[in-house]
Amino acid sequence: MLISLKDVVKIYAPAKEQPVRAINGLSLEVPRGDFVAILGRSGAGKTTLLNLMAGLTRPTSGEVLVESANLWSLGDREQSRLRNRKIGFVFQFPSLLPSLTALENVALPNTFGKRLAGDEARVRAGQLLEMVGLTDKRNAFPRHLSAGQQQRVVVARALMNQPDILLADEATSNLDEQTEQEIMTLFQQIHAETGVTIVMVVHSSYLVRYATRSIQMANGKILSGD
Amino acid sequence: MKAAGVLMIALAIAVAVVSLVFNCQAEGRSLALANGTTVPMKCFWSAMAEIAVAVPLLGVGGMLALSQGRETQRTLAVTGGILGAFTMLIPTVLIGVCANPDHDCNRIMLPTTLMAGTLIIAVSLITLFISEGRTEASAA
Amino acid sequence: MNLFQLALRNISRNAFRSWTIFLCAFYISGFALAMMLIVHGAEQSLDLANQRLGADILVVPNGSEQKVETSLLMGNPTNVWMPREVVEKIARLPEVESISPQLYLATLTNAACCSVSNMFVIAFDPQTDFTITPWLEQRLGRALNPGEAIGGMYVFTPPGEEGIKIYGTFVRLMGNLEPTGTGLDRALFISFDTAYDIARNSRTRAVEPLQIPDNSISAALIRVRRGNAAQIVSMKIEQQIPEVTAIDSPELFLSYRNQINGLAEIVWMVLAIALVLSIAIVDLIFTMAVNARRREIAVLRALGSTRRSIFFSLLAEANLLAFGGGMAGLALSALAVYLFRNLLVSSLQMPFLLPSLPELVFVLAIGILVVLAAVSISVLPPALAASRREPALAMRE
Ligand SMILES: Nc1ncnc2c1ncn2[C@@H]1O[C@H](COP(=O)(O)OP(=O)(O)OP(=O)(O)O)[C@@H](O)[C@H]1O
Ligand SMILES: [Mg+2]
Repeated sequence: MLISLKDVVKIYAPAKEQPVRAINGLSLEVPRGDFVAILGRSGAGKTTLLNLMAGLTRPTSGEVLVESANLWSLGDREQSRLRNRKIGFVFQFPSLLPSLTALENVALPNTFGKRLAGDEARVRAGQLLEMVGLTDKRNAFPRHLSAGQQQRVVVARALMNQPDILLADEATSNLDEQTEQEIMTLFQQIHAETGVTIVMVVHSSYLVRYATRSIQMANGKILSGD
Repeated sequence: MKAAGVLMIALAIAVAVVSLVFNCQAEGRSLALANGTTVPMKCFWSAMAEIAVAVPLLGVGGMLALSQGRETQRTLAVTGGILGAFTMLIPTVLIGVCANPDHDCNRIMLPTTLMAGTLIIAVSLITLFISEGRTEASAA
Repeated sequence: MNLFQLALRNISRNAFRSWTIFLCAFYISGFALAMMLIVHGAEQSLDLANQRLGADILVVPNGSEQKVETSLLMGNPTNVWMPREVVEKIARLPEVESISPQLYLATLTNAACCSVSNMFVIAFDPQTDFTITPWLEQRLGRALNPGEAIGGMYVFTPPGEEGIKIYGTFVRLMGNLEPTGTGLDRALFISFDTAYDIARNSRTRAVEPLQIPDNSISAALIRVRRGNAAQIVSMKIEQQIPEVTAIDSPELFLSYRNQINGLAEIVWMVLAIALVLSIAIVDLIFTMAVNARRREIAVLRALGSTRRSIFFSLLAEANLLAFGGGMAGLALSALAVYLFRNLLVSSLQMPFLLPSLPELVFVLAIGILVVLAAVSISVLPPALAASRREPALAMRE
């Protein structure tokens, strides 16, 4: 099993506020090669779930395993390394570094892992930009790119280190229908070509058709799944 | 480039004003010849030459502050740098100042012009460097 | 692209933050260096002046110690006299090894531009002198002949003339002493014979004659016999000859030393306050800058950057800025002090000597290290907090 969550609970306890059970005893297994779509109303805990899978937040109780390694028994170094090599992330918010060009942004994950030499990294980043159809924008800064173009750069960046898992959080919610379709097709194509495992939060049920499996969430639990 | 231009203008003004005020002639000192006539001294001629350099420098600074094109900026920076070098050369190599260390030309005019000259050259080099870098980025 | 380049890119992005750190480092280091050079230069110059005189005790007429010290340090001539018999009286003391009288004279004030005006002239007694004579033996290989002189660092013969004209008499400059940073650099040294010759001739050759009172001297330099404390000997001299003041060498220039120490204290205090203030400002601004970049840092963590590398790249950013600012400040202030040293001396009324190159390099290195340490301290808390923050929390604004 590539990712497995066992009885995970995540409670947020902000100061001077009621604690929130964002994830409430959730168990889930994602086998290698799946394309999982996660649906649920706002506040259902979808983002929290993705963050837990990537080790970006610590579960209050329960276990998160990636390739049967417990994320929270690893030190910061190993955890960071695992994120760097195995996980690609597409965020809900604009996440390109404004001071770097599109190409530099795509190559960024290589900086922390140093798998490729500088030239090779640039070549690979260039290929990824070509794949997402942005070859002509390689030296453009994020502020000169449209929202859809930015999101495609983010997808290319997520693929830079050839991850096993691609986690995408409402990658298309800010985009128009046409662009949304383009990006979703891109994900489908990536899934088919590289066999990467994708876990994707989608904001409406008509997007489920791009995935191989879908999960419905509510109140920090899985309501239904196939 | 606005900042560089303004800085250059300020330095040019400093050179001109200091040269105008702190030369021995302005203090009423001059060389008395044997036949009773007086002639101005070295520092006075240096001061006049400094003013002659400061005036075009003022223009270069103004144009630099307003300029847009990279090629123009580069030309202006080089011109400014050469004028800066002259600012330093006049009171040292080309003309010189009075020999007496107590005179204002030695205590004030000479160090001010040397300091200003150094800064003018530094500003020119930085301007050159920046405009060089910009063209590279826009060409890539 | 590596972490260092990433830091560089971030520097050019947040101009306000970057300029603040740069300018803080610039001002602090520049100010500190300038003050340090001035205070240190003054102290060193006093020590050298003391060494140059080479005396354990300086004897001057009562009430003139301030005047004499000022002329030795700042080079403005003075006119003080005491009876010559003082020398014999002191020489009789068993603790005194040698004593040498000196005459302090002044040249005319209305000298033309570009020749030395209003110069301090010191006449020494070649028979007993121990200040100039050793130097003469080393450099010239003989004593000064009548009509010859030795000058301080800044004394020179006007161009086109054969000597320096003093009260109508030309004296030939035979050499220059090494700089001390004091008035001694502007003084002219001649022998007693030359001084009396000039005075005699001045009655016919000069507009205003040079007056040297009969049987008088201005000051006497004393060397104490080994094993005797200069302080005790000087007390004994003052007891036996009430009309003179004896200053032992640690006390010499004491008022100047106190003035410098007072200045140094104020300077260090101002600097300490400025440093603390800068640390606070930089801390505040860096905290703001890091907060504005919370999300970006969270993204970097999600892409696989470790806490350590986040921490060190933030530290590197701040240190890079501080290094640039510190270097610029040090360079500019060293240049300014060097160029304006003469103005500094005349307006502060303090002696001043530039440090040697190794000393300067040492001071510069210390300066840079202090600036880097200060900036590291001020960005440590925000950098630590930013690297510790849980990425998932940082992503939510
Ligand atoms: N840092 C936090 N502090 C307090 N409460 C939080 C925090 N993060 C999330 N929550 C709460 O946890 C619950 C789940 O949040 P989460 O962001 O996972 O929802 P989501 O399903 O992604 O919603 P959306 O579709 O709006 O993005 C919400 O009630 C939210 O208010
Ligand atoms: Mg969400």
